[in-house]
Amino acid sequence: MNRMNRRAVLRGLAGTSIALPWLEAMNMRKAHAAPGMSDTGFPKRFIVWATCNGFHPPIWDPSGGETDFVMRPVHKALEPFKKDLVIVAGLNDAAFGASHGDLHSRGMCTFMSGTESIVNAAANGGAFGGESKASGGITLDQEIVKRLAPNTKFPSLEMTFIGAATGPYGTTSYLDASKPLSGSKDPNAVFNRLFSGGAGGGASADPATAARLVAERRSILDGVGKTYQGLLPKLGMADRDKVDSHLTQIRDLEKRLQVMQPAPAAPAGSPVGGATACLKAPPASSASDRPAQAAAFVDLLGTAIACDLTRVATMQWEMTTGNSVYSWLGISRGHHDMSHDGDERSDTVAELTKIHTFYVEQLARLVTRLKSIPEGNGTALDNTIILHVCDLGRGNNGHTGTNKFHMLLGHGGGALKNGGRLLRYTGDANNKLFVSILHMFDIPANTFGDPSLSSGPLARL
Amino acid sequence: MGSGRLDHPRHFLRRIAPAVALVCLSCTGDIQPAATDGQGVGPDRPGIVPMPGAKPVGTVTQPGNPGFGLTPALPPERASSPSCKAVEPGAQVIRRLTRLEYNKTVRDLLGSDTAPATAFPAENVVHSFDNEAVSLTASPELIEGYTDAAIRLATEAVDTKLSAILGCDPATVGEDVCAGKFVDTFGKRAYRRPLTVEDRTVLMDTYAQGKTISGFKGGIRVALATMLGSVHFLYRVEFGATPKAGQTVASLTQWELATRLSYLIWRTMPDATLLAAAEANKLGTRDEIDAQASRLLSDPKARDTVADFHEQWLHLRGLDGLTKDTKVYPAFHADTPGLMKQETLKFVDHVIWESEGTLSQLYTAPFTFVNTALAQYYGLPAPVGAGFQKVAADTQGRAGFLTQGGLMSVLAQENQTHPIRRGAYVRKELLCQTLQPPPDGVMIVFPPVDPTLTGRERFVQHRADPKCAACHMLTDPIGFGLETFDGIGQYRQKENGKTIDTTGDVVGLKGGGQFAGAAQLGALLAKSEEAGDCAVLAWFRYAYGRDADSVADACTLDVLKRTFAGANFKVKDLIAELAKTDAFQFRRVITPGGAQ
Repeated sequence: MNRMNRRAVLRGLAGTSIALPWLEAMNMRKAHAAPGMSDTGFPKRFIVWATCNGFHPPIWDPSGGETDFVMRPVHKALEPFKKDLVIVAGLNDAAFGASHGDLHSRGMCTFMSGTESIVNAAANGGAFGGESKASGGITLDQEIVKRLAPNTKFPSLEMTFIGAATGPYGTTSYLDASKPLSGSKDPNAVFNRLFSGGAGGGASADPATAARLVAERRSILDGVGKTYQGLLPKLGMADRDKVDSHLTQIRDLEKRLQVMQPAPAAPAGSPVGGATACLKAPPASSASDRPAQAAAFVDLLGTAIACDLTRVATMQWEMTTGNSVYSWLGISRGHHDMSHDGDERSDTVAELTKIHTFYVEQLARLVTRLKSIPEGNGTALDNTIILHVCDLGRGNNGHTGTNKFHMLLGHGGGALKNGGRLLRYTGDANNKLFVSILHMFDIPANTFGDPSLSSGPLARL
Repeated sequence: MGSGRLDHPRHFLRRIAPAVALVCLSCTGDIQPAATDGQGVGPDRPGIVPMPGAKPVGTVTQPGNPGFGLTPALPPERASSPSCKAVEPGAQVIRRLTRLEYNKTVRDLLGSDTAPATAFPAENVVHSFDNEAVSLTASPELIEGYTDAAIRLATEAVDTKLSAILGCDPATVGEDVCAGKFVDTFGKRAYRRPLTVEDRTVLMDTYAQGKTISGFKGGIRVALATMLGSVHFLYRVEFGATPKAGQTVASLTQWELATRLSYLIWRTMPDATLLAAAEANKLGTRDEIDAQASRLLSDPKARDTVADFHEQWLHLRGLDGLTKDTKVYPAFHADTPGLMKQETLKFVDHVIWESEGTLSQLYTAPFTFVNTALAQYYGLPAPVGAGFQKVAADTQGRAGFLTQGGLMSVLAQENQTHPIRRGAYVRKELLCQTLQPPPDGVMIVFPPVDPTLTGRERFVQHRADPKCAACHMLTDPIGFGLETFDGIGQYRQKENGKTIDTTGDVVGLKGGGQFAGAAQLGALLAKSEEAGDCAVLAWFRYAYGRDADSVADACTLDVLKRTFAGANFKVKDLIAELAKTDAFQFRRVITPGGAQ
């Protein structure tokens, strides 16, 4: 391993006496931090926090100026973290405007890629002819994965709280055009994936057995990869692309397996915090207990960061057009249905406020968790950027891709030093924000997404 | 139903679309319309639906376009053109097993009922189906899942049934000889064809590595897991039979045909009989293929496939976890959606396999299936006998799947019906028509529940305001005809004390679309050419894992439609016919690296 990371620190701490030298070695990197590493030698993380069905300006938009802004009640849970928060208001999803078809899937297919969506062939006249069916390009989170190629057990982690659909209405993250990464909807499955399974292998208490199982797994992946490799030259273009994409991910898994130690046997009931922050009991939640499930997702995300199992994640809270009934909040109407009411419906506004307050409370839980993970003189939050983003601009009174509301939390390893700001823009492309975020991760870029839509980073950020 | 002429959309567009387009345009209010050329709509005008790049931001579609009206289901320009005479299978993309297919395949290959694919990431749903080949892409989570499942399945097989899968005794013939025999015989079933030298080399290498690490059993485990992760197991790799020089279309090999037949009808790997037929070259003639298709169709595994198709087409997956506002609908319990799903699946199974088996019967049958609890819920007579039984449902104006509680509940809001959603479902899924979304910036507001109004009255603005009426005339009048089924699928004659007016209109339906009541709607659809054609298109998509979007596919659809009509729209016959088309029995010759 040619790079220090948090896992190295944790291993060092676990060995007690060598803890300090390890930390000092990391601190020495300060002067020439590698891309994707903080000034203090810790990995930078990027978390996409996606909500759907648009937002509702009257309940979201803060009042006041750049530094003396007053947050709305819906954001109350974030009040203690105001110094870690930058609100970016008034951007347009430029790719939304350039895309086609139903506004919901259009927003979902563009809001993280900055690229015009792929539409179903108009000529086939099928049930969804001319409608957005996939992102037209890689999303920002995956661009960061691709460019930094972190040596973590998982390249990224995608989770979805509610929303049955996958595809154009239910996917935030894309590996590339038409290559969606659907989020896992079951915290227990996420837990199993994190602490056992394909990327680790060899879960066994006996080190010799574990090592043998890992060796077997490597042989299997090597042989499997050869079957794909052998087929590639014989295929037509479209099939070749498909099989090659599969092969690339096998190779990637092989690489991850090489840098990984055998996974620890599934931990149970370990205390949370400090060097053992990455050991966590399986979530105790059922599909019927939604609040517990939400908490479980957030805790798993925090654990994945604490253990450096991944550095990039997407937490999606709903699918676009998702009509879930947030009954545990005392709401009896579906989310999507309510997103079609007019601004004048004060009863609807009150219900939407409840839903978004719930989301913001989960966000505050994540921020609290990241702040509890010490990293150098600061915390994991200092080395993280959380991007809070919504599929649409307005939901109510027309679904739009304009006047979007973004929030950034954390400091990106020193790249986003000054929090506590409200930055207002008038229709700049969200692509610019994405370029700025790439810069925060030490990725040189002048454009992200469709370069014809905009170039350069976002001013003042 | 008619014979399924391909050019009917022309007629339809000439008659309907201009009016739709003109009035819909004014629906845009203050939005600047795009320039028009005033030439109206016709079959020769391209861009019947907005083409990528054709629509400037913030403007609406051109009046030469039906706007958010209807668009035809099929490319109109080719009917029975001469190009249909040549064999043209259409473009085919390599197909990966869906989770359903994976689970069934490892069940049949290894006898494992562990259904490991259930934990894999969900497929993308396109055109209501989860098996569109293009959309089945790989992700890191999927690859991890494949790897885990392969190792678990291989470990389970080696630990519990080693001698059975080996087919030889390593103590007698020697470990490596026995391993070679295992790779050849088991590999033929896993890859659904005999192994090539190249396949064998890879697998024997992995065996040798596994043996070095963990001994003979480890070698078998590693070779078996490699097969289960291999492209030849997870994908349906096809090259076709060796073409003659200059040929662009090839017939399939016997093995490829066996695999296609099996996944078409069973969604799983070929059984021993089918593999033996391929081995013996007994899938070379149409008669031989027909005979195998008939055999497969008579197996219970085919019933599961028909159930899966309808579960998706009839949006029954929407019932999973469906909740309603229990203040408005106290009768709706957590187990109600599951019962309603069983109802429709039992109904479909009965119609297709034990009754007339026609599309018409699916639309019009005056009966349904209920158990005691569901009968009570609907207010239908209690069934005689345990479990789900057939009962008459026409006393409530019910006819066919469209009026069953499950679909009616899915196509409703949590506290009221949703006539637009119901109408849109009929248009999109049952008539295969496109409904364009409202233009940007249009405010869509659902009327609140009003204790004094009926559903039809709630949506009066859609009729009163000509800007809305032009578009909503396509959906709402269908939905109004279903208003006797409330938001949880219960029957009612009155809403808020007022008798429900169940007259409706499927505007633009050939031969007229006016009806009174859900039963008449079902009958109307049952005999419509559009619904017959649409069922064919839905089955095409499901069977072939792709959309019909080329001249070649139009020819295939044309054949299927004629046959379906000729068979009195018997669904089983349509499935059998799906195994007879050029699209099924042939493929384009592959040019490595070339366009497909």
